[in-house]
Amino acid sequence: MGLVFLALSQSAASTWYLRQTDSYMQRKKSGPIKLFSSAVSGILSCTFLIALISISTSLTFAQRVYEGPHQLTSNLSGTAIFQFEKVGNDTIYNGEFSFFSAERTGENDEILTGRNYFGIFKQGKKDGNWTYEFKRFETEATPVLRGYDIVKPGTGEDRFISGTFRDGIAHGPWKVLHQKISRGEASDSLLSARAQLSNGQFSGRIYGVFPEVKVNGAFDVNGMLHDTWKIQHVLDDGIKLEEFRVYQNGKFIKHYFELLGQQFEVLHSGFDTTEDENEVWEDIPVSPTYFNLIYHSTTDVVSSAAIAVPEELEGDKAKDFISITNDYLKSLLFSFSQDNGTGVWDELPGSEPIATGMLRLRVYDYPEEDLKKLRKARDLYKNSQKIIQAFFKDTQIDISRHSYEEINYFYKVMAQYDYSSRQLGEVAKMLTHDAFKYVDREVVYEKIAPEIEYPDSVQYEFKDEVYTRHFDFPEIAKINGHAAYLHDHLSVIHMDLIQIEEQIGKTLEQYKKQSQLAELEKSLVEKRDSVAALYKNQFNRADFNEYHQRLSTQIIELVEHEFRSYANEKLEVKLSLIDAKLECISSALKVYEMQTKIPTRIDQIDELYTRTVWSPYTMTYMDERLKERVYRAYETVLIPLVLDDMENNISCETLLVKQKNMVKLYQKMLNIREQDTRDIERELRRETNPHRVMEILELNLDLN
Amino acid sequence: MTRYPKIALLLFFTFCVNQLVYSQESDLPLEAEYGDAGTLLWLGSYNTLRLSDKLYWVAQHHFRTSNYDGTPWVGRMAQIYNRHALTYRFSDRFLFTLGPVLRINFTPEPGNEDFQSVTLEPRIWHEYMFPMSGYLGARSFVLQHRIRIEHRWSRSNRIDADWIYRDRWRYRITMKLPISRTTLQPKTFYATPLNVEIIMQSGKSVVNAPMEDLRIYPSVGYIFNTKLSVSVGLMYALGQNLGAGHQYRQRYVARINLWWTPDLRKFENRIPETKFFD
Repeated sequence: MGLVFLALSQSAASTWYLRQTDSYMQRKKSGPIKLFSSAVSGILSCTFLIALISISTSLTFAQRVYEGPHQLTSNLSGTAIFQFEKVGNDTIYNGEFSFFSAERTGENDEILTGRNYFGIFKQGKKDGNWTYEFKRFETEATPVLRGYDIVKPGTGEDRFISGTFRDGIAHGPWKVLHQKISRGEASDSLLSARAQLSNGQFSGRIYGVFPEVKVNGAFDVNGMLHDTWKIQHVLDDGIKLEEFRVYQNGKFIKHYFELLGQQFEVLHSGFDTTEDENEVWEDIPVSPTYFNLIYHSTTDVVSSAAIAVPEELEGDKAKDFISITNDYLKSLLFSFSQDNGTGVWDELPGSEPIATGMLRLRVYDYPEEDLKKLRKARDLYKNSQKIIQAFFKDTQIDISRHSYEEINYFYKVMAQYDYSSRQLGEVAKMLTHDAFKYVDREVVYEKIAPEIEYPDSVQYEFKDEVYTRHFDFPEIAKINGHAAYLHDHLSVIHMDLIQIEEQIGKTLEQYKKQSQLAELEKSLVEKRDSVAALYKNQFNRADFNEYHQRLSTQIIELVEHEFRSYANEKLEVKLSLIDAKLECISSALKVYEMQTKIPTRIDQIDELYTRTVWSPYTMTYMDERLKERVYRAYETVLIPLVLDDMENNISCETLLVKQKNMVKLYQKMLNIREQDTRDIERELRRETNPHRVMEILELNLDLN
Repeated sequence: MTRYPKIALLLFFTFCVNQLVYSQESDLPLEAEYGDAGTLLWLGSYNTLRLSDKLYWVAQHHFRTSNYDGTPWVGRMAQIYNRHALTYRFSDRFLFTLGPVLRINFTPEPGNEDFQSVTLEPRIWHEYMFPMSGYLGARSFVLQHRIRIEHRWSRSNRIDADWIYRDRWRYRITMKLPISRTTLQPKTFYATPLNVEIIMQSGKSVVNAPMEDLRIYPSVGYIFNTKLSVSVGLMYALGQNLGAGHQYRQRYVARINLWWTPDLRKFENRIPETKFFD
């Protein structure tokens, strides 16, 4: 700015001066003076020129252009060309903006997906016309000649949005076009829409043309749905079925169908259309929640004239059309701001979100306690479905039900519970939906309440025969209100499902065991034979010692007895016994291994309690016993005690326990070796009572 | 055997030969005279108290009686010995000992007023022990070479007898062999079939009697444990009389010995030793 002022002042001064000197020169006509004034004017002009160049240069440096790779979002990158300014460390878009992204996927990179943005920023805000385009084509492998170009035609879709922003807010006419492209040319229009936006909201009329449906709606100046919304369906036979939804400044006041000139009113339960005193009303944006409300609150279609409701609108068919309308309305209203569920204009900064229309709905009071119960019921439904789905997806169950009747029976029970839990759960889910705060739940519930009737028994087919078996399905009273009913019913179903799951688990486990029984029994026999062979020393093992010998007869007898007692049992009992018998005989094998270590341990203790001293009178090294009384107690009292106890108390339960006594004794002797045992040795003097010895040594053995 | 013991033995034998050569030059009768063999009883306690890993305190006590007036073995009191010293065990094959002795000598003729009832005989002694081991078949044995040198001041029990100073040069070879087991260990009977000692003496008073004693002492013993052992044996001793080298006295000495070797170290210092040889 300073430079501009300087340049202008220079220019003004220069002009004035030139004029003055010119007139003066004309008067004076003097050579040197003329020369001097020419020089001054020249200098002034140069200064002006230099200043002008400086200004333009500084302007050029303030606004920059970027062209190159650009990461638009965390998962969208491409090439961008845009003008920007640097303010401190921030980049402010200012000027034209264009972004192109193209991604090739597919086995041979034949699928091309592209997204483009074009528009203008003004000081960081979207301003003027903006377009968004999404293309997804699968290109053909073989190129074709088109005009003078050799191209590979593509088939796919193209989605286009265009609109205007004013200072970051959508304002002006907006268009949406979704097309199918076939071999490089537009083939079908999937959606063609136009609307007028004002200050970020819809205003005035909105049109949308889908292949199956046409929509014509309106908004008031505040963006509220207003006036009659006409949705034209085309039936299979080409007849037009028109649906009318009438709004008054956001309030939904009427809903009807028109077919062949006849009107059929759609009744909604729990929906208030007139605003009275002491009622709470809210303005809410249009959302999928609202459309759910329209759908679920629909209860009936009635005819105003004395004609029957046509077949096309009977039963749930009207609701089907309503659902179709809802879907298309959602698509239409969100198509200006979203593409495939993702916000289009949010990817770039500099604009406010586009509103999707506003509604005015009454808020109904609902007891918090009931709401809590419904939420719990919803969770119970979710958990029940988890159990049910896991059950049906379990391949083992799928296979087992053809082999085992029990599984088949529960299969039918589960199917029943699947149906009833869905009936109850969907209602609970619906009633806990946010949208339902705008309807009278009590009224709605009366229309959608599930009627569950359980049979006394279930019927199922198993191996080409039909069976009937009783099952105690629940009976829940409806006297405490719908929330309590739904909650209590689903609670009982959930508990039953858990019990069934447990029982099936056990049943399958038992069946599994039965099939494995043959293998387990084979293992039992092998182990029994191993025990006998080891304790008879048939393998002539080097580690077979006196301790094995000592217990050989008892252990062999024990194992034989256990085996015989098992073999004489019935199949059902065998299933429950096999694990215990295997455990017992395995213990006998473990005992054998533990006994191989006993001589080594005894030798270790002997060595540990032996000290070698140099004798001055024999002049040799002599071994002497350390802590002699302790060692004597160990050798003459405790070892025989432990071995006798082992020998006299052989059973499946005590085998390993008695062996561990030996280990405990060994450990105790190891520990005592390092201690000062003067007191202990004093107490052990002449002591032979085993229990007293154990007490002195603080040894806790498991003895009988 | 290591170098030092060999040198010591060589020096010792050189001395002995020298003494023999010297004694051959003296004027003696043509035939030796052997006195009647006396009978003595020696009761000895040999105590070696371990003070540390290498250091021992030796405390030996003898109670000696002699035949007298027709009573063999225990006719009269002969001597009471108190030998003390400190022994340092350089290794399993060499030990050095140094200490004093106080011997109490009782009158050889009790009741004879020409003799004092007791005289004292102090000594200083040092000893060099060289134990070795080996095997005889399956049995291990121990062979010991012992050189003991004593410096003694003694006087006869006769009234107004003069003090004489002598040096004693002793060499003993001993062999211990287990009988009831294959190694010398607790609860084992053992024998000492070879126990021969030669005691030479020197000094101004030693003119023609250099050989004080030649002792042959076989014995048997029993090892109770690493700290206690006993032995019994009969020793034959032959020696020259001082001042009359042609006269040889003979003695049969019954010896009963107790060997006691406690370990006085603290409990935590009694680290098991490593055997170098067995």
